[in-house]
Amino acid sequence: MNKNLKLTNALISGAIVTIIFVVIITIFADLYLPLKDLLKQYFWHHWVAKGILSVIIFLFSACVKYTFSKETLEKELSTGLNSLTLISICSTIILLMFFFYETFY
Amino acid sequence: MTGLLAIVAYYAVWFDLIKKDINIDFLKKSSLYGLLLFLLSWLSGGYYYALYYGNVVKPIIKIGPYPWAHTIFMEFKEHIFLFIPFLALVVTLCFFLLENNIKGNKEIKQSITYLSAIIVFLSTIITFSGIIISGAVR
Repeated sequence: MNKNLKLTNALISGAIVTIIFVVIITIFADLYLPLKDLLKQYFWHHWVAKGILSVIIFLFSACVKYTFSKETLEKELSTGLNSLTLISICSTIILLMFFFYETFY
Repeated sequence: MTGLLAIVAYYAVWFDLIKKDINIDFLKKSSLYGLLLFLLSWLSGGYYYALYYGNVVKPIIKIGPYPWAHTIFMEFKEHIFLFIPFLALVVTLCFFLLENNIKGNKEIKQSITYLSAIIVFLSTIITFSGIIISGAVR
């Protein structure tokens, strides 16, 4: 079994989960201010909170994926990388649209 | 400044990947420098944003003629910035862990090329957002 393929695939999954988490917590904390206050309360600043939580979620999800996944094929890796690219683009568009909406509507 | 240098590093990675014969040692070094610079940028930019921007710069923008510079571009920039180091980490580790796979598999090479391009694209958007925000303060 190629452990490098498996590890890389786990890191890709970790990055995907982290990006989705950033989008969800950003939108949710802006719409529901008690959450933003909670983040500030525990981590001093909401941005610092999101940064620290992102690192924790990345490591956790990569470890879970590495532990529970079987052998990774090259084809899966390519699909994973393309998914990561696509999710990054979609997340960027969603965040931009959300802040536009929040500002003007 | 560190963010700009990181963009240069990933621009170099992107363009080396487009070539037919890639230089894996160059890709390893350039992506690693880029990753370290992004992390440095994360720390220095985060320090500036959390300690200085919110107290001094943000109030000036919000009472000025361009409050949207903060509510759209700063908010957008600070959150996109959160996930770029993870993308850079994935690209860097691909070069270190999958050297043979990248050389022998066109699909993987192409996927990493796209991801590197996205890193450059998003970082450039962040830079331009920074220019808009700076302009709104004056």
